[in-house]
Amino acid sequence: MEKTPFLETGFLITEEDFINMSLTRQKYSTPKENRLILRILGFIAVLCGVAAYIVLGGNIYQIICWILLIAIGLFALFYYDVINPSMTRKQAKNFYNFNKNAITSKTVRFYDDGFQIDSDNYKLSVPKKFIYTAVESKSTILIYLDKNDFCFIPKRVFSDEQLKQIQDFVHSKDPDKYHEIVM
Amino acid sequence: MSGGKKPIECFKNKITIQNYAEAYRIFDLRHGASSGGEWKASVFFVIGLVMLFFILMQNFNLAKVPVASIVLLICMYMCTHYIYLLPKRAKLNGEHIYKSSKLLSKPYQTEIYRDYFVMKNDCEYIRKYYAEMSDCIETDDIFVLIGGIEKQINVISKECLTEEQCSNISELFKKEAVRIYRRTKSSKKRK
Repeated sequence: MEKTPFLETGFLITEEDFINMSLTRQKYSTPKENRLILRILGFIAVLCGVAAYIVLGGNIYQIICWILLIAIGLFALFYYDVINPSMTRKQAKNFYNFNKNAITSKTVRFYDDGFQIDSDNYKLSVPKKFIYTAVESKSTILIYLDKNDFCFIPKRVFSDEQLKQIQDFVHSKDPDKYHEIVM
Repeated sequence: MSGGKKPIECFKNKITIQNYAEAYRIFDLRHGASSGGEWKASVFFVIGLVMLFFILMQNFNLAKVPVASIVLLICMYMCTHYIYLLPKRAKLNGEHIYKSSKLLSKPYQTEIYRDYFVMKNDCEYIRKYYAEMSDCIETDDIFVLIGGIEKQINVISKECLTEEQCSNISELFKKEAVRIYRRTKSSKKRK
């Protein structure tokens, strides 16, 4: 790898960084189709439940069924937009607090042909061809080395110009493997 | 540094796709989508029983309780999903992850110390303390250490160890990682 990085920066991951990373990863790992299908099914379930309750009514057992159907529908409708992000946020917070002592400052260096990450307990030095994909959200950049493992860099540590350089770096690997997430 | 300067064991560790798939299945069972599968399946089982009761009240006339019938079918599917489908899918995901990675197939020089372990090669250097780990699972084929911020799944293949090394590492984990150590069986091997 080249010896002179075009970009070098150091940072310490905060709780907010970690939560944003988890939310970005959660949104990226859920296919859009799954979200759409669940919303549609939830909407249909709520509609059917309400319609059946009003039109058919029925005995106490049937009314309980309609109410259960509406509840399941509401759960499905709001799962990916409200329930899952809340759970993710809580899990991320707990995970961060559990691992707080192991979190040390990191230095990231970007070269034309690869990148490096340096911290006390973890060092990575890989060429660009090892990058599997890259994901960018409003607050975070995730650089995946395979379908599961990734490095994340909070965007707050970069200036606008530096961000542009990193976007060009990850774009150039394979433009089809770059994903922008709207949070 | 605590743990001494001389490693207790030192060896070259190379994991296969089967090793990683098994490790990922265990990770998923402890921390992923499969975790809590039993109690989730139990909830759906109970709901299914309640629906069955409603259907029974209508003398199995499904036309009179269509919603209960549909909910019962959904509950049956969800029970199968949590107990059988998710763990099977987790192992498959592990295989896909291994195939998508250029790092996992590389050999790692692994050093086991009293309080921590080190895995290193020309691309990566990892040092993790057992106190940071959330799980240390031993199966017939691998040791899986789960935890940390970077690279949560760390696998040591027993194929790279002699019997004596295996035994030493096992004893060390039982002693130093007593809070998180577990011995479990591997899942059945796929043909």
